[in-house]
Amino acid sequence: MTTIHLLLWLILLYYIALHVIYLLLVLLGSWQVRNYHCGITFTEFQRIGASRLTMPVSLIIPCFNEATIIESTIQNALRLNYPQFEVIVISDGSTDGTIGMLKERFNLREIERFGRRHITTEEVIGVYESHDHPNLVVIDKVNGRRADAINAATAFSRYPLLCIIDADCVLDTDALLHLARPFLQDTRVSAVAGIVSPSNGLSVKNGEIVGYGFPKTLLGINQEIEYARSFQWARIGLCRLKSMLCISGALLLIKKSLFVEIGGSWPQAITDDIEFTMRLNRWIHDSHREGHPRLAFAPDAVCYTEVPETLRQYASQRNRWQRGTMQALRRNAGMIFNPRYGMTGLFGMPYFLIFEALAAVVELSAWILMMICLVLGIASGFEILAMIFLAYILGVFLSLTAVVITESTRLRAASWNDFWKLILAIFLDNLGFHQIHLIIRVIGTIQFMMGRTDLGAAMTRNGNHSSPTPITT
Amino acid sequence: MNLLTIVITTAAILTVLSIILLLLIILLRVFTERKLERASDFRKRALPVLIAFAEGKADAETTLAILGKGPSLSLQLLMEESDAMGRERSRKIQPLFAGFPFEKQMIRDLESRNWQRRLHAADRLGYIGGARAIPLLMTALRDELIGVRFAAARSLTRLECGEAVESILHSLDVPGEVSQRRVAEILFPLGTKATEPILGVLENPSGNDAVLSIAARVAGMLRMKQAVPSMTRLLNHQVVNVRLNCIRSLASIKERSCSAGIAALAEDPSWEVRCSVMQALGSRLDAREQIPLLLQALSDQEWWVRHNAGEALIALGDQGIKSLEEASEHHVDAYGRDMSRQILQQHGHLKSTQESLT
Repeated sequence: MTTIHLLLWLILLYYIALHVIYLLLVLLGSWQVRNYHCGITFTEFQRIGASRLTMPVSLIIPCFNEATIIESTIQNALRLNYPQFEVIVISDGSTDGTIGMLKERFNLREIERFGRRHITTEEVIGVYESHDHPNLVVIDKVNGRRADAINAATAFSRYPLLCIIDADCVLDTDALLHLARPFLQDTRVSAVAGIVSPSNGLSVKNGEIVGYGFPKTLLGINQEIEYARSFQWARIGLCRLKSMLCISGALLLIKKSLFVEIGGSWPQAITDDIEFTMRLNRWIHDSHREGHPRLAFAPDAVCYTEVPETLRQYASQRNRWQRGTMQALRRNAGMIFNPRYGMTGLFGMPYFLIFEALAAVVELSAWILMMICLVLGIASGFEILAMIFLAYILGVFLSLTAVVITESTRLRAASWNDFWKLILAIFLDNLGFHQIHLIIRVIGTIQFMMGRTDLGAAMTRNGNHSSPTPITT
Repeated sequence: MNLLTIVITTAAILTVLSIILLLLIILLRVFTERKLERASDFRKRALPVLIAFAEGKADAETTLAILGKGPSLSLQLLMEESDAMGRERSRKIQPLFAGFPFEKQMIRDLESRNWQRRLHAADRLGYIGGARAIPLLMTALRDELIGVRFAAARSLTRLECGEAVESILHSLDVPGEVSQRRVAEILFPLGTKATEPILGVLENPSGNDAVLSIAARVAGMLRMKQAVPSMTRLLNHQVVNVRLNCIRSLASIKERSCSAGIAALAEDPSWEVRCSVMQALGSRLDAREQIPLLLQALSDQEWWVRHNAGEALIALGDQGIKSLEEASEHHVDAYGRDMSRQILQQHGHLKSTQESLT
């Protein structure tokens, strides 16, 4: 009895600690977002676009069997508003005719181009340039996972900044300008992350966003809230606390010299972005560089990515994320509670371990414990319901805080219809979806413990938002 | 305290807070929608009148009557159009700013303790102008926050205030290459209005090296031939950045008479300076007489210096390429031979070398 009571208290304390941190991040995140927007002067981004100090960017798009959507992604990338950039599309051993399709659509010709191989990768089969777009390079290589493709593309990049996105990403026209701003503001900035949001409700024509909206399914809208919570306040708050340990692979701008120095992405990683961000943080502390390199977050640089709308794909993706988180933590375990890594070691890494990686296990334990209490008669049905309601209302409260921040930015719901759908989804989230997510993550944890390190089933992209048409020059 | 009591109390508090938050979100959305709608309507009505005024088809009174219905929206619109119309036409709409009490508001904001207010006031005064704008912006150049000082400097440049150049240089004497280049970019639009003050700084160095460095850079950007003698003297300055910017500027001006002075820095302790020397002697100054020096630099300990020396030889045309081809075989240093081959290969000249060998 006493043990069960003690466990119940521990779980309650865990929840209180978690939500106090969340609340702190909400406050910090909203304060940071406000400060960021108020610090932007009139025509600042026009000036960044015109300045010779704005560093050119190599935009890297790794893809594997993405023939259905890659064309639209390239069209979108070529339309970006940025003074000087190149688009490097790297097909990681695609077997769906991606290269053939790209050759035809973008009028590609094979060239002899040799890159300086900083990082060992799988063999590059061919490099192509577009007759129509001088800033488009397509690389064909032997399959070796996303991280390997990024590393290979780095060797062929010409510019000092690397922007890495996913094959299904749609970037806001000014996203690169917004991402580049912190580099001009502070020379210590080494990498910048931006906002990632679901693209399922967007209307994209010829690579240009022509309409905004939310996903049509409840699962999609549910992820809209999840992304808002994660990006609108959690990441920016964590960034302020030097604890941003997951920069999404869907949008990252980083100095090439730094990327190479760290050794690039780790090809064996289940989620290369999480592992890379942790290693990046470790390098920042280990390198003892003058001027202390730092990471920044641009809350107005937006990238839209396709989120799964079927339960099977959702499960596969979240299972991979969970295993990836565990793997990255294990690989960088030396940072956890290590004062040598400052706030990152003393707060960021423990937070990531206790409240991100192990959250599902703790929460499932709480459910099981409550059931045991009910069966053994230690707690009444009312008491259990009160506990469940507390967990529910905490989730609702935090999601609402994310909506407050979102509604005061340009990422607000495009229509009242979407707005009400979002509110409805917030109230429904904890009545099933959250629990399913919980089970998926616990399964992921167990599978990782049992040594599963594959990438799982590849997500089938629908590319519903896009309607590519031939580009004429 | 009982566990259940804690749970129920916390849940109750959070429920109330969630309801309040939800109501707040709805209110926020209603207000934002209305605000955006109002702004859009105002814009639709005001913009054609403003354009007509700039074209001389509408008088100030009518235009101000329409703009007066939304002063803060008008300020935004006037600033946007000032930028979009270009300098000549934006001068025509400049008097409209005086029709609003913006200046008073900006004065208040510049004295605010809130840095964001000061920043935006310094930024907007550049558009609003007016008799008191320049003295106010000069004061803002002494702000404790570098961002406000940058905004004030940009505004003074926008108001074409040549007298402010020296104050801008002294207020933004920040260390670091990028920051100094930012200042140079701010001063560049002043054009000939900046010539005299920049020359003054270069001829009578005050001891502030950052100021000197930026002045040298601006002189190069403005292709100031008058600054050549003082910059040639400054080639021997003790601070790396000053030497570096002088080399770059003299190269930008394409002042061939200084090639000997620049070449003298080929043994400079700073590799960045040596790099710039090689760049300058090549495509910029076309200093064929310095080919022996460039060949010697092919064995420099720094890769970038060797690379730039090779590139410079290529830029010097047939004579340079021939020397590089010879160096690829006969240079005394292995690194020199290697770099020569790399550069020749990059530019498609290596084949001819191999053929000549066979």
